[in-house]
Amino acid sequence: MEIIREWIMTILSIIIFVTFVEFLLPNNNHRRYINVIIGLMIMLVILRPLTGLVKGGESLAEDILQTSNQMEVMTMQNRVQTLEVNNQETITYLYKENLKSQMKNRLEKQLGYKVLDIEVEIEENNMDEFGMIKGINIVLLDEEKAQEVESNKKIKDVNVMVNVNVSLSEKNNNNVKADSILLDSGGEIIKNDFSSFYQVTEDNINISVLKNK
Amino acid sequence: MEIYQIVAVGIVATVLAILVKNQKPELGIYISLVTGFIIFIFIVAKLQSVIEILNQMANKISIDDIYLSVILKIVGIAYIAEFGAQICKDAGEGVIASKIEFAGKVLIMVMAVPILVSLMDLIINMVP
Repeated sequence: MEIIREWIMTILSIIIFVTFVEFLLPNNNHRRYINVIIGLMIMLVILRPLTGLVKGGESLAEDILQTSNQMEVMTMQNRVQTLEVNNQETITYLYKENLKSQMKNRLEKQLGYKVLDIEVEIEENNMDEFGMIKGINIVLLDEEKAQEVESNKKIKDVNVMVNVNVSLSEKNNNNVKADSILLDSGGEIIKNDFSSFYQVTEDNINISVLKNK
Repeated sequence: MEIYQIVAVGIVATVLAILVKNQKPELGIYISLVTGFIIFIFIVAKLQSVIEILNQMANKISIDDIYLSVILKIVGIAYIAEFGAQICKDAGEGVIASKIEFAGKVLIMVMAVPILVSLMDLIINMVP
């Protein structure tokens, strides 16, 4: 008898409560969704004791809390995952930018070249060796040097295709290939310097000079 | 009577907004925003007491707390989303307003999922 009394009380009070709360609802299309949810809830309240008779289940509050907690956890996991990916990308980007500016400074201040662009390829997948430099592609813009090399080797009419570096992607090299030539004499100095300083094998350092037009 | 205060605030703000609109239309938005907040704050204290009394009543007749809290949360989400969307619409940003409404819908849906899951569980258990 007590169970039936409680059941009826719950149904009645929820219906009264909902009618009361409907005053507060804004006059827009949210009303439809809210009505659907309230309908679901009243269905749940009405059906609840029937399953209680079939099998003594735990309380509804526990059920709902469990599901909403599960959803919270999943949301948090998604957020953490996104943050981790973002962090990783930012770290790699900053590291590359710092390396580039350091290399640029080194080339410009110590060796006296003008640098147009530097591309650095680093190890990103293997976590043990994360950050090791795999390849460097340097594009210099040194007018005097470029002219010197041009006049010495008479390559004005020759379209020199230079691509020593295998590890760098083809696309990167294509950007400068047509207008650039490999620097030999000065290149050796830079290569020696860079390979001893950054621990990269000389084969993986690719230096080109943008041809003067 | 608080309704006098609220209506007075509303009318004064409306007159101000109309006066200002000719010179500086952007000030009208600020005025409506601030007025909205003032009226909202006036009302929130009252609403809080009503909800507290309803909660006490619910405790007295010992129905599950979860029903009331879910309904109130959903109504609150709908109301706040509506409030924000209206302000954006007044400022002429219909796109942002529709995004706020969309967010409100999604959050209401999130609130509804546990209810839906328990209902489905119940039905699955009932049908042999």
